Amino acid sequence: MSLGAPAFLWLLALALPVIALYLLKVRRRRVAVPYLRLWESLVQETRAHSLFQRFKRLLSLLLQLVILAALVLAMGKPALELGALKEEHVVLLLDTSASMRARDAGGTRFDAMLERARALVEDLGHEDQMLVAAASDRLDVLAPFTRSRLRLRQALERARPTNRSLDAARALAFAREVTQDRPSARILFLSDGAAGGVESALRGLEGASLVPVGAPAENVGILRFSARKNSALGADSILAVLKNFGAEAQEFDLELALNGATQKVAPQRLAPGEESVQRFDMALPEGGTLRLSLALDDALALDNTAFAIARPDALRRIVLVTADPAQAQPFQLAFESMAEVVDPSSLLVTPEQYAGLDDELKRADVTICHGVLPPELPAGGNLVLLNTPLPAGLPARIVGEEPNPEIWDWDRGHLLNRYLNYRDLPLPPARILEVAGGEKLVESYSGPVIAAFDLGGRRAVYVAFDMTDRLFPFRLAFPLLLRNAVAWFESEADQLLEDCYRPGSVIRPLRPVSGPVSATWFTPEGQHSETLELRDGAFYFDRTELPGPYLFTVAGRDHPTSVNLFDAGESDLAPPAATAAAAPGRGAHLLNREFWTVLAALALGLWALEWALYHRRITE
Amino acid sequence: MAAPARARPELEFGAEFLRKLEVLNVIARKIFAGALRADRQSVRKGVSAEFADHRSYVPGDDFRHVDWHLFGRLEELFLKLYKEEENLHLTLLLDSSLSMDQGARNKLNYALQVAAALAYIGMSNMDCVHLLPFDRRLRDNGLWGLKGRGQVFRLFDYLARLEPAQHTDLARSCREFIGKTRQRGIVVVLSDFYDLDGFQPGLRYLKFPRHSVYVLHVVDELEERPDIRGDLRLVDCEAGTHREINVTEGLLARYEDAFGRLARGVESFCVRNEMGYCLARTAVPFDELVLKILRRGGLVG
Repeated sequence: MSLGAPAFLWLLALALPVIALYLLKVRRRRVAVPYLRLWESLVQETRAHSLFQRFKRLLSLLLQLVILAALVLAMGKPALELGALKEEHVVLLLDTSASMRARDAGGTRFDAMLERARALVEDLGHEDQMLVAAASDRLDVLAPFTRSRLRLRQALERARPTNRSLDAARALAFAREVTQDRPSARILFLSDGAAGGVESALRGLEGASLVPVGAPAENVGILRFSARKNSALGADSILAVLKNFGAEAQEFDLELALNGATQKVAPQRLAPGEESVQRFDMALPEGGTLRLSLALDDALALDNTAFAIARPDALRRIVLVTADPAQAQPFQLAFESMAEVVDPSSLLVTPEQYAGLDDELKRADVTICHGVLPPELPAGGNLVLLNTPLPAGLPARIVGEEPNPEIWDWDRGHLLNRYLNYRDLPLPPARILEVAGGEKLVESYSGPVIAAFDLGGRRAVYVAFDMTDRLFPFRLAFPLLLRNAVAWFESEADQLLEDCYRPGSVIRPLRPVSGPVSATWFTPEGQHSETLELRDGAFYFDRTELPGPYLFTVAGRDHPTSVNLFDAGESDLAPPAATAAAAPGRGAHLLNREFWTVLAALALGLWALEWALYHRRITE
Repeated sequence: MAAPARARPELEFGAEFLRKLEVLNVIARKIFAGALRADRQSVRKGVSAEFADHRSYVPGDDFRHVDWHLFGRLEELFLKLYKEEENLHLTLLLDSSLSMDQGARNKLNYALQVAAALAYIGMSNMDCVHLLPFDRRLRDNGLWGLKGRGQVFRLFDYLARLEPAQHTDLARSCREFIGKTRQRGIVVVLSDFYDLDGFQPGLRYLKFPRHSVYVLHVVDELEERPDIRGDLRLVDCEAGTHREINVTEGLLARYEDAFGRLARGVESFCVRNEMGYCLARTAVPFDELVLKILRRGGLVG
């Protein structure tokens, strides 16, 4: 038992005057009687009861002292702890994930959770210690273990809802870690219970219980939104995935905007639980920031808007080095068919001419070497080597030749082989490769004939046969192989950032960068910009709490990206499951609460008993 | 008993009291005129003819004692009374110990009123009345030989000045009484009979000279049902001894039983020893009690 106001114990000194008053009270009143002997005869009859009478008089004093003690203890605000009257360590985990922003009757789930948390703090025994932590995809300790209710209340005031997802397992692992050495510990997880696998994480975890928050709510959320260049279509494919998590059908307009300008509005109707995939094919050569929004007033607004980046079409400068320009006509025809990706300044040169070019003209995104290698390979850009000698540094070697190569397998998932079927494709005579550090893309029965290499900063494709030999230039495979090669080069070359990040995550470049870096993002207050510091060719940006478009400028070149929730667990506002474990409520902590009222009632009852026994003279 | 510190109210024998006594006297004469007179004649021998007093005739009186001379002058019938014929001795032994100075209605005052009434009736009938207070012994200043109504104010004055004192010793007091008189008569004992040595020896003494003994047991309602509760120090008002007793409802119930046994013990003793007995509750007006006594007739045995 602990006392909230132990100073009141000094009042126990009142026992002395009580005893004094008792002694004064038992001084007997003198009453004259005419014949005492008559009374004495009766007393002799009841002599056997005298000890009991004395005891009862003593009982009266004891009752008064107990009444005093009960009143003083009541003023001292005593409290009992659960268990074996020892201190308890309570870890209070607050779910601050995005779903807690959902509107319930009377406010948000976050508000309801704070209210419940305050009640739990007030219920805390005086010897108990509590740790308060905010849990989302990361854990913030708002207050370490403390007995101070003031500090705990202040910690609750500091708690803020986030736009992040919930990682319940991580939060519970932390709670288990901090309580494992404490003999009496409880973990209370205040959450709406649906997201983050709270129930599954709690299952079987001794001492942990879910304190559910929230009520059933209707919500439609965007689970995916992205844009991709579709070279085959020559357009951008925009993909969106929506889902109705509510119990009622929802009708709303789906609005797609580019750089703030509405491009399309599509009415939608989603049945309860229905998931819908929407695809928009749009030519977006200039690229831009796409925004998809649902014109719907549901419980959670956060997942009603999503952003995606449509990248602009990039023209690739190609330098074709060939020993016989007359044989280069198929290449020219192929480049004409790829006009949307081939820079008009592309060149066709002989090795000698190439050697005479200045550095600016040599700079190419793709250098194609047809049968020969220039005297010096370019320092940058990607390489397509068509039946050339193997340059130094390429991790492969020629092990043989095959006059009639027959293909027995190829890497169907590789971008270079997209839309290609080598099974019935007659190939010209080819060399046989032995690939040490690359990918074997096409293999004949004798060995690989096409391989891809990632050379660290540049990529190379080696084709071990002459693509202009025999009828191969008239095959569809000719331009497709070139187009796929260019696509494979560009797919990663300019991709400095991921297309989408989760709220709260750290944005860092996918490859080393140099030059000044700045970040630009948008908040309800307006546009913000910040210069980022580079460390070992990388920058780190963690102010990604708000969903929306983000723009990073690296060495004068823009790299847009976006932050979106895209978490079905957070968007699913289904009613919290009934308490999986025994969720403690106020009543469950009765013993943890101050019980001065019980003591006061006890004192009142004892006073009535004493009055009945003594003042009513029932004692004998 | 519940108010022991309360002073004894002053007893007044005023006109109202005297009027009540006269009424009692008239009633007494009607009751006893025939039988009483005959009994006295038969009991006593050698009756003298010495004139003592007149009294008014009441129906039933013996015509032989009518004073016809006086009738001839006044045309009203008077009876002549003779000293030798009224040779009855009425002794009132009055307990004036401290225990009598108790009660919601003071027992001593009540006993004094009853004694005054009986004495007045006796004096009116020319009986020889002795009023003898006692406590631990017979008091020396008792009134002996009161006769005739002419001494009634002496009686009242004596009673008004009587103060309670000492404890009760009935045996010694009775022994002293029978040592001072050899004449048989009626002895009325007015007492609460709270005698530490017991009331029986004293009453037995009175039987030896063949007195007709009549016992008036004076009892107050607070003695029968005391109004006290709690832890008390009970002090014996005569002996001064005390005892600390927790008076409870149960104890009170047992006390009432014990008191009833005590009163019944006095009564049964009187019956066994051919003594008249009357329980004189102070709540009953003294004149009603006297009337009751007269009607029962035991007083003149």
